[in-house]
This record gives sequence, structure tokens and C-alpha cells, in this order.
Amino acid sequence: MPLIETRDLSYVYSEGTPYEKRALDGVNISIEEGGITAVIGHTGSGKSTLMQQLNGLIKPTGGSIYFDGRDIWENPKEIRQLRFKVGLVFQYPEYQLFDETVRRDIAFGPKNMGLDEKEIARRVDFAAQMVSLDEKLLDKSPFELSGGEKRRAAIAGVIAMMPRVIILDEPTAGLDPRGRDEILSRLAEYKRMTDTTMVIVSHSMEDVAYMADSVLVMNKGGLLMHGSVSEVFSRAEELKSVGLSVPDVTKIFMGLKSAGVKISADIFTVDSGIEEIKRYMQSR
Amino acid sequence: MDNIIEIKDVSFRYSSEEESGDYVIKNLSLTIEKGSFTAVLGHNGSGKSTLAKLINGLIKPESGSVEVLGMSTSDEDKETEIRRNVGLVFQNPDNQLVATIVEEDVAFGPENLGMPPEEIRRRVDDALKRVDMYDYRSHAPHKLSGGQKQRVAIAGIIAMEPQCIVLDEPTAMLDPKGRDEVMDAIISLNKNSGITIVLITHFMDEAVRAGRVVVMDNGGIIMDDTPRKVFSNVSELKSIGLDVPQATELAFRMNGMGYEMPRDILTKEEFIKAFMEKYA
Repeated sequence: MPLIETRDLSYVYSEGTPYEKRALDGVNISIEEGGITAVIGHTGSGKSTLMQQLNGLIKPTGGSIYFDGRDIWENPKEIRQLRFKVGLVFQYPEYQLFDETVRRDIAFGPKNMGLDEKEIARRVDFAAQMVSLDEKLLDKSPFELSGGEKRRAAIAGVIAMMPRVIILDEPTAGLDPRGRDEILSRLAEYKRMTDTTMVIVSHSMEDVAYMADSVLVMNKGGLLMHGSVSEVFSRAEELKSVGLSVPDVTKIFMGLKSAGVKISADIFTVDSGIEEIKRYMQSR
Repeated sequence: MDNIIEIKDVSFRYSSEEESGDYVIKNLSLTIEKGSFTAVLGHNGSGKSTLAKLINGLIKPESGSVEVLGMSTSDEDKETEIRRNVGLVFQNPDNQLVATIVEEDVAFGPENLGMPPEEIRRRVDDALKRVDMYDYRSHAPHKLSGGQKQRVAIAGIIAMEPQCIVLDEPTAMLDPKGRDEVMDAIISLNKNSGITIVLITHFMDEAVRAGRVVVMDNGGIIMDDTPRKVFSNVSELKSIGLDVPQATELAFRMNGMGYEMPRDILTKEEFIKAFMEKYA
């Protein structure tokens, strides 16, 4: 059984007004427990709306969402509990830090869950460690942190709730390459240690290739593709037609292959490209 | 060629940090030629954005001088004229659009300059055409995609008919298609309208399209050359937290493994060509 499933999920903004906009239209997705699923699609494709539905932040105007086999809106009073199980890290989450100290900010979620002080402290330390946030920074004001540190503090706030699923909406947007690598490698390490299911929305095909097991492609409020990284990236032309792309390294291997080189085009990262070149050279 | 921007030995600290604070820009000198396209790279905190604000006079150097078209940014009488000639485009298009209709937004600048209506009309139409957004002139900005919004923001700058545009990570918040649209608009403004471009970016594939790449670190310039020369310093760039294009990295690592490849490969086409010649 998938951990998250949607059936004919639809969402219409400002329904019945002149500003009515259909953001999602009959979407059926399933997300298995323990994987990393990437969600790609151009701006306005419905990605963010879908993510906000998955943790019950907005209620569908049609269809349903199942978490662990149960309709999340079956009892609307329990929706708050769902948000502890499905943690959402918004786009540019650093703008949402608000407390006096970083420590208190990270503790906000666990506190809302009603955990005792000792457990909260334990989780704050764990979450800070998970995102490599130095102990010394915890008693500072969030405003004293650098951009990359702020972003990691915001992610720690969700990790501290120890949700079963973490949804991250463009976690590396606007970061420099080093800040990006730091966040992605910390997330990969967290995944490895806890086996938490992750859903990552991204505009960066390179990040998708580095992190994900499977990819959901959204277009015009609907699901266009759902498959492994390799299945999705092999459809480069279709991706291009909906404003997306494949990593440059994939284009290189596709180019070599179509020029007649006996080389795999199933390459999505520079590391795997180097392995494939080694293999190719030895087989020549 | 004439220089449009001359930065001489500039140092700068943000005032709250003054006396005790660290220099964000340290003894930096840089000249930008009229009509050129320069990309500025550097990790967060390297001083790139501060450099952009120094160029259009939003902030003044603590020591040294910044001259735009021969006018010092420290000369308050020249402030308006400098801002008119050097437009600044920021990361988030949502923070830059003010009106409820695209063409009104683009007209905002010229209106503030007190231009006659027919001149405003001409400039707005012309600016929107140059970024390929003329068909959207009567749309509401908030309904546009990120790439379209950013092009409207750029049109608003072009309507002031500046000689130079400084863009501070204009594609950071955009999807791949939006990034392409904005990059195409920037390149066309440089090539077809002769506008000098200074593009601050984290994307190496964008820097590759510039004529010159300046790399900043710790408030100073550590590399300044053609994209080809700059990106051939793979290890050095990586050591300061920057990337190189994937084609460059593949070729670099092949050399490391003993499979010889040209060291200045920039694009996937160049990689494929070199690989075919040597190893196919």
C-alpha cells in the first residue's frame, strides 16, 4: 500500500468568482514509503498546490487524499495531527523564521505536538545536528544567520517533528553551489539514517538526478509522467515540450549515443557519466 | 572602446558594521566597457550584490571611486542621471512589479521622469517588444509566469533607455523555460540594442554565454577573463564553492583518468565533438 495516494484530486482557486482558476484537475498519484520522489513541472503547473494538499494545508475542491490508507479529510478535526506526520518545508522557508532564537524556532513544531521539555531539547539537538547547524548558532537570533544557515534552520524545524514524510518545496532555490550541495548532502544523510519518505519539488534537473528515486512530472494541473529517474529523463523531447529539460550531462551522453558511440545514454549525474566512460574505454 | 563603468580601489562596509565590521568589498578595481556582456560569479557573501548596488549608486564607496559615464556615484547631483543610465534588476520579480496592468508597470519609470504621453507610449511599446512581451501588454502581472514577470521588470528598466543594466541573479527563482526566456532577452538587449550587461549569477551555463567572466571571493576579484579561460580552472573554482559546466567537469575528470581531452571545453557540443574525434 502506498503511503500517500490521491484519487481524482482537483483544486479550483476562488471557485464561482471571475478569478476562478483550476490549479489541479483529476490528479492520481501514489507515493511509496521510504523513497525520495521528485516533483517537477514549470511554474503554474500545479506542483505547489499539490504539495499543500498533501499535508492538509488546503482542502481539495474535488477528489480525495489518503495517508496510510485513510482519507485525510474524513475527520477534519484531525487534520492538525496529519501536519505533524507530513512536514512541509515551504519555498524560501528562511523568511518564516520568527522566534527570538534559532533554538526556539526549531522547537516550535515539537512544542505544538505537546512533547515534554526533555524530548523537545533532544529533538532540537538532533535536528540541528542533522542539518549541520553549529551548536553555537542555536542561541543566536535567526536574523544573524547567513542565507544558507537560515534555510537549514527552517528545515531543522520540520525535521524536529520527526514526520513520516518531509515535503520540500524547492529547497535549493537561490542558493549558491556550495549552499546547494550542503543542503542536498544533509538531506541525503538524513534519509539514509531515518528512512523518512521525502518529496522534493525542484526546478533543477541536476538536483533531481542526484537525489530522487522516482519523478512525478506535472503539467497544466495534471500528472504527465510518473516513473523512475531513468524512465522520465529518457523522454527528453516531451520534457522539453512542457518547458522542462534533462541534465546537461544526460544531453551529452544522448548526443554521443546518437552519433553512433556504443555508450549508454542512461546517465544523469557526472559521477555516473565518469563510470560509463571508464566502462566504454575498457571495452574498446 | 569606451568604459561605461570605472571602479577604482573601492572598499565598502555596511554602516551598521562600520569601524568594527568586516569589509564586504576590499580594494576592488574593475572597468566595464560600453556594449560588453560581463558575468559576475561568486558564492553568497562574496560581495557580488554589494558590487551591483555600488555600480548604480544605491550605496557609496567608503574609499575609492565608482564612476558611471564619467560621473561619480558619490556626487549627489548626478544620482538621478546615474540611476537612469544604469538599471538594476533583482532576483524576485514579484517585488519589482507595482501596477495592475503590464504596460502601466513598464510606464512607471518614464512617467516619473515627467515625459510627454506620446514618448511614454513609444518607449513602453518598444521596451515590451524587445523582451517579447508586447502581446501581454494589457495582462495583469500577477497572472504571468515567473519568466514573463521578470521580462516585464526588465522592460520597465529598458523604458528608461539606460545604457547599462545590472542584473542580480534574475533567474534564481525561475523554472528552466523561464530561465531561457530571460537569458534570451538579456542577450538580445546586448547584441541588438547595444546595452551593456552586467549579470550576477550562480548558474554556470549563463556565465558561459557572456563575453567576460569576473569571479569574486572575499570582496575582491580573483579571476577575470573569457569564460573559456576562467572555467578551465576547475579545481580553483570548486575550492571556492563554485561549479563548472557539466561538460567542462567531465572533460576535466577524463584528463585526471589519463584520457586526454581539451582542457577548455565549455559546452556539450564541444565535448561531443572532441570525444568523437579521439575516442569514437
